Amino acid sequence: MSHMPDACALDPVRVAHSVADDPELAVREVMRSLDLPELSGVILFCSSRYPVEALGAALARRADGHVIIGCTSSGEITPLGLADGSLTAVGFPATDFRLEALCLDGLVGINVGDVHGEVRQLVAAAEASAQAQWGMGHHAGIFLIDGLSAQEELLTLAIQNALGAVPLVGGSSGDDLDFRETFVFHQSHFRRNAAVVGLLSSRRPLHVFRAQHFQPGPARMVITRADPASRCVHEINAEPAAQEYARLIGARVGDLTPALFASHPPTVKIGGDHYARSIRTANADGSLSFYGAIDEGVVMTLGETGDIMASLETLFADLEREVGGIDRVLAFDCVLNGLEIRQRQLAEPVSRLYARRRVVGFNTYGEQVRALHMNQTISGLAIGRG
Amino acid sequence: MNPPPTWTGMESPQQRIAELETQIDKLSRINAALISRVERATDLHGSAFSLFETAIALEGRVRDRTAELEGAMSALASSNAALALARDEADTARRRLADAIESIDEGFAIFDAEDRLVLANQTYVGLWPEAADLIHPGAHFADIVEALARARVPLGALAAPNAWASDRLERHRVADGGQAIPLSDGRWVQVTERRTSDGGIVGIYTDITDVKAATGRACWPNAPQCCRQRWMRCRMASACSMPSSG
Repeated sequence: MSHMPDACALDPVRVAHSVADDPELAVREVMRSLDLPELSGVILFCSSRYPVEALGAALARRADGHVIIGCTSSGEITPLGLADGSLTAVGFPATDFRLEALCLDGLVGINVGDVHGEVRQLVAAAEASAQAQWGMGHHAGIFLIDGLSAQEELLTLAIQNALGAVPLVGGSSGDDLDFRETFVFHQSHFRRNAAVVGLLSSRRPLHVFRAQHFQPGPARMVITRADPASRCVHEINAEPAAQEYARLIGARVGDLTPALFASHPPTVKIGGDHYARSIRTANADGSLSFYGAIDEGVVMTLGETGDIMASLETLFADLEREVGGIDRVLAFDCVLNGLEIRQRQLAEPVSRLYARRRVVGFNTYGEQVRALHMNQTISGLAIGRG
Repeated sequence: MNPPPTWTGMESPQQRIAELETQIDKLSRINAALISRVERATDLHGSAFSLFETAIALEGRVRDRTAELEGAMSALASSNAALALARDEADTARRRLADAIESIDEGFAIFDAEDRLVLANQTYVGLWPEAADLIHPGAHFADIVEALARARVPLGALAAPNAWASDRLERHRVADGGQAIPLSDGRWVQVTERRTSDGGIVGIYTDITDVKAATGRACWPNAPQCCRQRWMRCRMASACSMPSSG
C-alpha cells in the first residue's frame, strides 16, 4: 500500500502484490497490506503458476463478506512494474468506492436476455446507493472473462447494452501462453467458462481508455477458409494460412512464435479505424488460431508496431490532462504488448513508466472496451483523485 | 497476395498456362470468399465477427451521443451559472424595492393582474390588524376586503358589510383615483390606487385621521363638496408619485 504524501484528505486506492510461492502465504501478504476491513471490494490478478484450488480456498477464508473478484493472468502489472508469477491486488476504500459483482457461469450457450436483466439490476442498485451515499456517482463496469471461452464478442456487446451509459472495460484471463486453462474468480473459487462483471461506483472520476501501439502497413490479405466458432483460419489468400502469413511478414512457418505475432498484428479496418485481430497460435495443420472473432471473406491489413514508449507517454499524459489528477490506473494490457515490450528490451523503462503512472493490472488474452472485444491494446480505467 | 506473374519469356507456354491457371483459381476463391462475406454482412443472426462490426458501429453512435450529451451538459452548466447571476440581480432589485417601499410613511401594496398581493409594507399591514393574518404574498385582494367587512372594520360595513365590500372591490377594479374610507374605530384611511403596466394595481394607504380631525373641527362639515375634493387631490399629488401607466 502506498500513500501520496500530499493527499491528506484522499483515501487512495490500495494496491499490493506478493511473489511468494505458497498461495496461502501470498494471499496473507496481500490481504494484510490491503487492510481488507476498510475496503468495499478487491480485484485480483493471479499468475497462472498458482494452483487455483489452493489459491481460491485461501481467498475464500479471508473474504469475510467482502466482494472479491479476479482472474488468472499471463503476466501482471504490479505497483513496481511488469512481473511474472505474482499475486497483484487492487482494493477500493469504502469511503470513496462501492464494488458489486455478478458472476456469469456457463458462457457457451448462455441466455443473453437473463444476463441483460441481471446487469440492469446491478446498475440500478449501484446508482441508487451511490446517490444515497454521495448524492452523485461515477460508474464503470469491470469485465473479467475466461480467455479461452471464445465468447467475448457476444457477452461484451450484451453487457454493454445492458449497462447503458456506464462504460465497460476489462480483459480476458490468461495462462502464460499455455492456452490450456484460464479462470475467473468470484468470492469463493476460480471458474472456467465463466465471466465476472464488477460494477465500480465512486464519487471520484472514472475514465475508460484504450490505446494501441501499431499502425497499419501496406500488406493486405483475405481470409478464404475459416472456422469462425473456433476462431481458426485455415486459408489466407487461398493458401495455407500459416504459410501465407509467414511469407507476408518475411518469416518461415517454423519460426512463427507469439513474439512474431506481436510484431506483425493482422488488423481489420472498420468504421475508419484499425483493430488488431491477433494470432494466438500457429497450429500443426498449417492453420492459425486467433484471439478474437474472424470470418471468411474478412480483409486484413498487416500492422507494424511503432514506438511503444512514445505511445505510452502520450497515453498517460493525455489521461492526466483529461482526468485532472490520477490516483490509480487499472490496466488490461494485451499479452502480445508484454511480449513486444520484452523482445525490444523495454521491460525496464516500461516498468518504471507504469510505476510512475501508478498503473496496476495484468496481461490479457484480449481487452474489452464498451461493446468491443479487441487485441493488442492497452485498455483500462483511470481513477481520479477527486 | 502476390502480384500477377509477369511473362518473362523464359518459361514454356505450358508452364505459363499452369501458372496463370493457379493464379486464376486463387483469385476466384478469394473472390468467392469476399462475395459470400458481403452477402452475409446483413444476416440477422450474424457471426461473432459481425457482432464485432456492429459493436464498432454502436460505439461510434454512442460516442456521438456522448458528445451531444456533454455539449448539452456544458450548455446546462453555463445557463445555470447565468441563472444564478440573474437570480442574484433579481434578489438585489427585489431587496432594494422592499427597502424603498418600507422606508415610505404611507401604506403600500401591489397586487398582480390576478389581484393577488405581490408586495406590501409594514405600514399597510399595520393599518389592518384585523386582516394581518391574511396579508401575505399571494393573498387575494377580495379575501382581504371580505375579512375587513366581516370584522366590521370600515364604518360602511357596520350596516351592510356585503354592499361595502362590493363597492370597495368595484372602486379597486376601476383604480383611477382615491377615496377616503372612514373606519368604525374613528380612523380615516385615504386610499389611492392605479393600474400598473402589467395589469396589476398599486395602492397607497394614508392614515388621515389627524387631518380629518383638524379640518373637521375647523370647517370640514360645512365646506362645500368641491373644496373637499380639491383638498384630496392636493393631498394625493403630494403623497405619492404613482407609476404613470395603466
